[in-house]
This record gives sequence, C-alpha cells and structure tokens, in this order.
Amino acid sequence: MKALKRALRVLILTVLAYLIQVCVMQYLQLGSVSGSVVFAVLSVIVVSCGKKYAFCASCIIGMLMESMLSNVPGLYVIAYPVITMLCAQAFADMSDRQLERRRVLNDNRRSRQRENGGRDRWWNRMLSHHREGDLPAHLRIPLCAGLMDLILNVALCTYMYLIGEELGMVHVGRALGSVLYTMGIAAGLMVPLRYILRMYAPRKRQQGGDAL
Amino acid sequence: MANEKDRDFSESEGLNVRDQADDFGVEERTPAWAQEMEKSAAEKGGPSREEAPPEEKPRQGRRAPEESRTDEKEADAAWAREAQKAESAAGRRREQKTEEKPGGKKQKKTGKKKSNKKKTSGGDERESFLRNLMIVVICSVLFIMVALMVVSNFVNMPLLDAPRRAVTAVITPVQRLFSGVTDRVVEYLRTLKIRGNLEYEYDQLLIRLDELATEVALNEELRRTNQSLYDLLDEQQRNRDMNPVAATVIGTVGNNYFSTLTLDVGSENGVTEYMAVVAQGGLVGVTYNVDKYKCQVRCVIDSDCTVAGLVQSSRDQGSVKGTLGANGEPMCRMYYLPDSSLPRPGDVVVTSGVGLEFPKGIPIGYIRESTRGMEDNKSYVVLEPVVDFEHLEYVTVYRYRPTYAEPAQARVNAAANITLETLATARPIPEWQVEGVSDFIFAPTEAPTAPPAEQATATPRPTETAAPAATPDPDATAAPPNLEYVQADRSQNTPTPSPRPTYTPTPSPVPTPDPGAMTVEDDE
Repeated sequence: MKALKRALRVLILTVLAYLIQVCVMQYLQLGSVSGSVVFAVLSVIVVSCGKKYAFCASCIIGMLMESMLSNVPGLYVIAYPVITMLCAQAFADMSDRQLERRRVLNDNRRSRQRENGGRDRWWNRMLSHHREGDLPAHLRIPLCAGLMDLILNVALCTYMYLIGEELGMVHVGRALGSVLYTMGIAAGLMVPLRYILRMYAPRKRQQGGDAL
Repeated sequence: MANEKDRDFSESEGLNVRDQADDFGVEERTPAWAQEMEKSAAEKGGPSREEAPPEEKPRQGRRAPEESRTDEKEADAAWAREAQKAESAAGRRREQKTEEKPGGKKQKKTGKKKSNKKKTSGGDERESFLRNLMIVVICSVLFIMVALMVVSNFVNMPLLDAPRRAVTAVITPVQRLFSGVTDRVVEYLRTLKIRGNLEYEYDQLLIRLDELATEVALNEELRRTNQSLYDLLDEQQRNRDMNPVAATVIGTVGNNYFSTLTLDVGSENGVTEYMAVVAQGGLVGVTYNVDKYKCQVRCVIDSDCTVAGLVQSSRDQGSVKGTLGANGEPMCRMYYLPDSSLPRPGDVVVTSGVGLEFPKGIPIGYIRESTRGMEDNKSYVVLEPVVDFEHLEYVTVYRYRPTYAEPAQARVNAAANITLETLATARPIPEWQVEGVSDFIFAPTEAPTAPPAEQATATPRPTETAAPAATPDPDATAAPPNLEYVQADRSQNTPTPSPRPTYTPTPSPVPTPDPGAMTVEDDE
C-alpha cells in the first residue's frame, strides 16, 4: 500500500512536470532559452526513488511528449527513457553491496600504498571509483538534471546537423544556457519535491531520535 | 539492506538511511549486516574493519596487479556471502525484537502471538513479492507501450497506434484544463504588471503634476510681480515730471479705525512729509513720520486723512476723508461740496491740489453713493477708492514740489521791461498812442510799391517748310522670276459638319379636369 502511495506520488509529479513543461515554461523563458522542468523532476526521482521509478516516469513522460508534441517521430519516446537510465547509472544511489565493495577496495589500495611508502594522491581521492560513498543527494540532483538536458541538447543538435542545418556557437550557447537553466530549476525544486516524496524525516522523529 | 530509493520513512523504522543522514547532517551508520559480520568476526577473534588498520598489520611484499585483482574478486565474493548471511540473521533478530517489544501491540494480543509472528513474516514476504511483481508489471507495460509507439511510427496499423490514442485521450482534457488555468494566471499576472506600470506612471504623473503646479504658482507669482513692477515703471515714466520713486510696502497697520503703511524709502531717498503715494493709478495716501530709511503712509481711508478733492465731471471741489473710523468700511466721504452740486454715481474724484503739496489730478475714487440732501443730516457723498488697499505691495511716492508763483510786484517789474515788437501786417495801422507808455508806438505800414512793367518782345517770323517727296509707284518693282502661287489642296480636310436641328416632340395636351365633375369624399 505504501509503495502504491509512493508510486502514485511519482505519477502525479511526473504528469504535473509534463503539464508545467508544456503550459508554463513558455512564459518563463530567459533570453529565449527555456529550461526543462521534466528533467528536473526526473533527476529528483532518479536520486530519490531509484532506477525503476525513474524508468517508469521517463516512459510516461516520453509517451506524453510523443503523443502530444511529436515533431520528430519516435525521438522523445526513446530519448527520455534512454537518457534517464544513462544518468541513473551515474547518479542513482549505489547499492550497499557496491558501497561495501568500494570500501574494501579502497582499504586494500591504501594499505598497499602505505606498505610501499607512497602517498594517497589527490587525484586518486577525487576519482569517483575510489570514493566510498555517494555524493550528497542535493549535489547529485542538479548535476543529473544538467547532464540529462545536455544529452538531449546534443541529440537534438546532432539531429539538426543531420538534416542540414549549420551548427554554430549560437546553438552551443543555447544548449549551455538551457543546461544551466535546468540545473537551476532542479536546484530550486529538489527540496519541495523530496519533501513530497517523503525523503525528509518528520519533525517528531527528529526530536525523538528514533528515525535514524 | 534498504537503499534510499527503497526507503520511505513510513516503512523504514529502525533502519539506517544514508540519504537521510546526509540531509540531517548525521553521521552515516554502518549497515546492520556489516555490523553483524564484524561482530561475528570479533567473536571468532579475527580483525574487524576498523580494528585492522594497515599500519598495525602491514602486508609484506608488493603484489602483482593480477594478484590484486584476484584479491578484489575474493573480497567481493566473501563480502557477498557474509552479507547474505548477516542480513538473514539481522532479519530474524529484528523479528524477534518486534515480538519481544514490551508494551507493544503484539504483546497486548497475547493469545495471537504465534499467528501474528507467522503473519508478520508472511506479510513481509508477500508484500515484497507483490511490490516486485507490481514494479515488473508496470515496467513491462510501459516498455510495451513505448515499443508500440516506436513501432507505430514505421508500421501503419491501428492496433499499434492504440497507446498513442489512449494517452492522447487521457491527457488532452487534463492539459486543456491546465492550460486554461495557466492562461488565466498569466493573464492575471499581465494585468497586475500593466496595473503596476500604470500605477507607476500615475505616481510619476502626480509627482510631475505637483512640480508643474508649483512651477505654475511660481510663474503666476512672478507674472503678478512683473505686472506690478511694470505698472509701477509705466506710472513712473508717465509721471516723470513728478519725480517718482518706487517703494515697497514693508509694513501694514490695519485695524477698525486706522490704516497706515510703512515704506522702505525715507529722507535718504528724498521723501518728505505730505507727499502723495499712489498705486494702481490711484491715490493711496500721504506720507508722514518720515525717517532716514523709511516712512509711513496714511491711507485715504484712514479717518485722520483728509485730502482736497475735485469731482472731475462737474469740477466741484470738496474735502475727501476716510470712513474707516466712522463705520469700519474702507471707503471715503467727500464733504463740503457746493449745495447746488449733486454728483452722479460713478463720477471720478481726483485730487484738486488745493491745500497740500499734492499734484493735481490723481484719482482718488469713484462716487458710489450720492444721496446728499435726500437724507437727513447727510452732507457728504460716498467714494469707493480706486486702490485695493488689501493687496498693496509696491507703491510710488511722488516727490513732487509745486513751483510757487512770484510775488505781484516782481511780476509788475518784469512787465515794465517787456519790449513789444510789432509784426508786419497788410492792414492799416491806426496812429494812436497809449497814454503813459511812451514806448508803445504803432508805426504805419509801408505802402506797397507797384510792380515793374514788363517790356514786349517781337514775334519771330515763320520759316518755310520743305516740300514733301513724291509717292513711289508700287508696280515699279519687278516680281521674282521663280515665284509661283500654288492653290492649297483642301480635299483632305474634313468638311465642316452642317448643323442639324434637334426636333423635340410636341407635348401631348393634358386634359384639364372639370372641377364641376370632380367628386368630393365626405369626411366621416
């Protein structure tokens, strides 16, 4: 029942994101560049709910876009799920097993370095495969949204190039502007959306200390 | 263990939530199965993760890369096995804890302990199974729909297009509703923006209006001042012989009985007492109490001010006095008019120049009420002053001094020295003398002399005129040999159309009805 409630919340958020994208965002353009609320919501779902929910939401978004705003046949219905699942691979929560595996590998690497008298280089510490945990969720959501929008913009620019359009810095600038706008939308929406998805503990439980 | 995506707070009691730890800044906890594993390792005497730092138990030698990879695989396999074991053990322990929890719901229902235990474990499994099943079904359905939509772009089959139609049918009304709401909100916001702009412009216009009103008032003030000064200057220029000087009213004393002004000119400017002060083309009053740099003016409406006046139309003289002390009105009364005089209302009264060192002819006022002799004991006429005493700012002081007449003896003496010269005249002058005046002699005019006669000159003789030349013969000149006269060919010209008369039909006669044969309808 609770899983059903969560699925219902995700569904409502998804449809709402689609409606806002097609009805509202035309009025909120910044310098003729429009952001993507859909990707912002999908990134929140990716980080907060996981890959399965993200797949379902992206399929729904893709079908809605394909049915209502189909300008390139089959583009949206394929692009949205594919992009979402690609980004989910990078930004969704790692499994506990994966986390523990990384922890063991890092312990071994450090121990070997100390045995050999070497130092832990800063680039080793910065590289993701040596990190033992996920990045903070509030950092992953804007990054995920930006990456999604960037991939879609690259796909669309490629399509434009293939149909004979001359690509220039205007396209690059618009794509980057769109990515930044989408990241901003994601940063602004992630807290209320995560609250709606019950990702924050109720206040009583915080005070009592039972939640954690 | 529960991951963030699988954790809802309503279903994650007692579990570690890594993402929540991020959110609330709480230190991340070790998963329960890892704790279990470490605990078992400690019981066996082996090193736990935290207790076995590499410094304490260093490994000898350097491993080859293949060895390292093998180590990773072994570690993965070991952790996976032990994780499964620990998780199952933790699950069992959690269930036991739930059952043994004092004061819990399940302890209250003591008779149903065993059945509850079975239900709990069975319910969890069933719920997990149903959840997984639901997710799989939903994902599959969505995937199939996506696939159908993709394929429908390439294959024209109504069945393949069914998902698209279904989605369109469901989402179109919702989107229409949402779009309508959005449009209304946008329209409202635009209205607010327009209203905000209008309010801003209105405020700016109000500010501008205030500025302009202030400017207009200032300009009006300047205009009035300019007009007053212009009038003053004009008055001074027109009466330059009265030696005028401009003055500003710097003080006014007005009460029920007296009306005096203080001017900013004094004896330093040549002002003395009993000088006329005028403004707006009329008499204001006379100066008195003159100091070096100021003087006072007693207005003509003051009860103490008396000025000799003259009715301009009838030349009747009288004395004009203020009525402020008599009845409180800023008027004047003219006394001592001749008994036979009855001025008309509207007549102008001017200064007569009698008695005071006043110039003559300065307007004092207009006769407003002339009932002298009609009412009992009324020996005056009422004057309305020309000057508006309520709005006096600038005045002119006439520093006029009359030239006194010479004494009579001096005039006689001066007349004795007068030499009169006669002018030439054609009329005869009588020869007589004035007695006692020897110099006064009229001499006769010289008789006119005759004009000199003109001498006649001889008339010149006429001269002969030359005879006229003979008229030349026109046939004397021969015609040129090649000259031929050619008759002009007029056959190509269009003949002149002969005018055709336009016949008009004779009007047919209209029968005139016989009035006697006409019938008249009766009015009903």
